[in-house]
Amino acid sequence: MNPLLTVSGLVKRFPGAKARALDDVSFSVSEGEIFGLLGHNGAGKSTALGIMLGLVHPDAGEVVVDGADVIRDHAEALSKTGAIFEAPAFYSYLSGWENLRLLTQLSGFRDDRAMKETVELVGIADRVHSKVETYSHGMRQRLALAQALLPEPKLLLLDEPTDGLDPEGIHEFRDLVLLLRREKGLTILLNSHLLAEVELYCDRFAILRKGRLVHEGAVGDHGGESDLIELEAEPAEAVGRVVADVGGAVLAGGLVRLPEGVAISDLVTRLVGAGVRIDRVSPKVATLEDFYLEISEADERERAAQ
Amino acid sequence: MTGFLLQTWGELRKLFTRRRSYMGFAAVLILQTVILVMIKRPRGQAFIENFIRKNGEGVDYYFSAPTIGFLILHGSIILLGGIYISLVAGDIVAKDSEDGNLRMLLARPVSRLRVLGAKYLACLVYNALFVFFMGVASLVLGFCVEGFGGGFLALAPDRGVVTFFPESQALPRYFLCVALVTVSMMTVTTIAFLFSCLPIKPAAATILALSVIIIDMIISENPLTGDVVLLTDHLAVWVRAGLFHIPWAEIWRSYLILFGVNVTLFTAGWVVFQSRDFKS
Repeated sequence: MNPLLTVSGLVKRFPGAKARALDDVSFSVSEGEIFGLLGHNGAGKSTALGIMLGLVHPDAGEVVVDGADVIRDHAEALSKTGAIFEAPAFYSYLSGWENLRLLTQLSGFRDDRAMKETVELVGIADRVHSKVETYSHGMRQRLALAQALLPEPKLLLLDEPTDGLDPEGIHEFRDLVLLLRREKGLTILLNSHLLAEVELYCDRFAILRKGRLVHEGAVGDHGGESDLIELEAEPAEAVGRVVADVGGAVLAGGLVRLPEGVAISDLVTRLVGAGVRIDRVSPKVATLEDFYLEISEADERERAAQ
Repeated sequence: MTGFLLQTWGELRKLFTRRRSYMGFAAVLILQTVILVMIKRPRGQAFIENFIRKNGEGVDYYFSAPTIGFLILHGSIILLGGIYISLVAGDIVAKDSEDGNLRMLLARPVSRLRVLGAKYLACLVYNALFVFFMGVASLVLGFCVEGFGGGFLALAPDRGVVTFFPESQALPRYFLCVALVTVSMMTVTTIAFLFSCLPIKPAAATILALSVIIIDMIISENPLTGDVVLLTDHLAVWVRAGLFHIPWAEIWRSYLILFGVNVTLFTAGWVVFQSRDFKS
């Protein structure tokens, strides 16, 4: 797949800031892919997105959207890009429809039928002529998605799109985004600090930490079985003795680390033989959260050593 | 070009959908009525009547709607006009920036210059409508108390000159004054617009713009520094349309200077705006 979005060597330090908001960040997103940019609050995700939209001037580096440089070919690059910001702002004294009209006019777009179809697609057709000040947060988010989809972008940039939505709203928004990828073939970059969100939406992801890209890979590559098992059994003293006998260790939270070469079935046989009652035993699957924390700790150690 | 005009139209729609844009219109009516009451008080009326008599003219003929309209407009335009024009022009970029709307606009395939240009043009249209409203409202208040007809007494205070126009020339001269004061007030709009482009709160932009005008006025009116020709001296050139022989060369000179000031201030605002980072 060709990269639709290429981010190369982005560096940004805001005036008066001690540290760089972005420090040599590079990655690319292929056509049709959903790419997650994961990071803690203040990691630099929104700054990166700002640079992708020409809202923030980088000190170095470039962003290319479908062959068009965001700085040099600003209008061309942005004509292929739609964006939703964290807490999107609309003119609350105008209707949703009037807001859409104002924004799409800036793209030289005037097609009422396409606007109507998009409004129906995002599910606000019945309220689009009401003033935005009467909208719920979820409706504003849907309106934000509608404006991002007009007119026909190739790339969709989503900055913390489910922030503040209720669980039902999050679920609906996710389904909508996945539908857009499936039906319109959109390439999507998702900024989020929610690990589950990235896990559920994305094909690939990158981790930004304190302005530095510390990992880039496919979602799922980090997973798989670990050397840990989750064990619920009693009495605890007998469990501890048996685990120690096989060379393992009982950890907090009902986790047991097994040494290499010892299968779960071997441990179960020994536990039963020692009169232990086993309620539950299962291998611990490494989650994205485990991976993220591991990467974060490694980065912290590296920074401390520097 | 069509896109730019549509965008300007959109800015005007936003401007005239907001209630606070009409605040100035209401305030103008109230203040101008207060000024009218002051003029019509026995003392005020007697002063003007004596003034007309001393100049050997007929009181009934020249104490007319255009004369009262001129006096009201002259007394309210710089400060009251300045306040409400600054309020709108100081708000137009800074409020969008504060509310986060600018990010939505600038994420579209348009240049920042075009976004600013449309907003500035919308401010100039507001400026023209507002000043025209002030002019018409002053005249209508004059009509209400003095009826139609009559001549026009125009003052050029800095020259110490009074001109009496017959009825046939009264309204054309009056509206020429209104047209010229509209041009003058564009500079107030531009000063507020410049501050609106800076990374400051909308209220700060308005206050700074008014501060510039007021400081300029204070220096200009001070006997020790009154010889220095400042902005407000050029802004006040519109009253020269009330002289019998209009000094067009002087008026053009002042408006060329104000035009240069406007271009410089807009450019400065644009340079600052262009360099800003807009981040959530």
